[in-house]
Amino acid sequence: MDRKIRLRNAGTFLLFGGPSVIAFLAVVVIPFIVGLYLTFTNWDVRTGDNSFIGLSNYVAVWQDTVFWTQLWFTLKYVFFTVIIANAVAFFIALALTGGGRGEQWLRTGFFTPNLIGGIILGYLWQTLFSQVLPYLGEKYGWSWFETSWLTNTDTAFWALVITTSWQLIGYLMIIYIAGFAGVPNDVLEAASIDGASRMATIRRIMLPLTIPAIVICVFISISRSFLTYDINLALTKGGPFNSTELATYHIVQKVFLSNQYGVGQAEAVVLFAVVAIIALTQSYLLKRLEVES
Amino acid sequence: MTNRVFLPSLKKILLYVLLFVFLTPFLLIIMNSFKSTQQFVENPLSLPTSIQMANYVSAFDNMNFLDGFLNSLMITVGSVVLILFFPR
Repeated sequence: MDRKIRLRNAGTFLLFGGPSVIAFLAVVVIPFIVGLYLTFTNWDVRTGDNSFIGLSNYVAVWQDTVFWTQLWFTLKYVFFTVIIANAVAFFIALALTGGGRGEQWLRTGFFTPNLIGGIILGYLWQTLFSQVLPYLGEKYGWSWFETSWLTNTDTAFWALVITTSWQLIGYLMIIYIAGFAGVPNDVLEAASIDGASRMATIRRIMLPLTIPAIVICVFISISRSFLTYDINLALTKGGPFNSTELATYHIVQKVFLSNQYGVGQAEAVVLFAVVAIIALTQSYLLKRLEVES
Repeated sequence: MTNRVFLPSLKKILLYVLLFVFLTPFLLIIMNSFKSTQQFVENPLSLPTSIQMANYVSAFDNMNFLDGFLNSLMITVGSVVLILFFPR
């Protein structure tokens, strides 16, 4: 009897969960394991080599100093992107949860950049940085904008940060709005009866109660900005002098341009480890701040 | 009392200004899509003097827009159908 029920439960699970499990295995788990295995071989599509060579790919990664500088560059880029995008999205969402007129339009407007792919966004901002801003700089004598931001490593860095934040803000804003909508009204009412100021309400009530939304947003922005490739490709193409290559860009170059499949794959694994460690640490640390309302 | 009426509208104005800044890149691109290359280089911020569709025509020709659009359409319809019938 017991066994029959269990069998039927397994059947029900397979019926409903089976397709998703198979899809997940086929496109995430198996490719990941195969990819991990390939880092220990001298795999090459052209020659068909596929023999076990141990850790020498990882030794090559260790010696690839360019990769480590790009990884450091990527870390800085992620740091600023995550902070700017989340801070701006948080305050826009806060301003857009009052229930005033025109709110829907404003939300839609801020979400628009997210509807366009990264490649087109990159080209759009490339025109802006290399044509429109220098024009303004020359006309009004703003020394900041006189040369294109994309010709200098430092300013190209900020160009990347601004473009990525611009794309992310709308998306994060939606999650924050959902988070604010989950804050119970009675708590806010109690706060206003107790005479809490707007700032105090935000700091003491809104912020602690939206920690789950913050965790999700920080997680999404960390992983999305670590894996930025399209914007990097369209905006700077890694230039000037390969100084603004992000880690993913470097890996793609390594694999498909220098044809070092094994080394590139090993670098991807290293990048995965870095992203996983950072993303999991932040969600662990932030989750400890969660409170019950 | 005046303060209470004034404050939300100030917030609104700030939000709309921010939205305008946010959408400026789109406005610029749409504006410039009606201008010739020479007009664009001369002044990227000027309004188009006459509406030219030449850019759109050449884009349509050069990128095989219809083929690309049909491909995107098929991918979209296919994935939406799959997502609807196999939700997570």
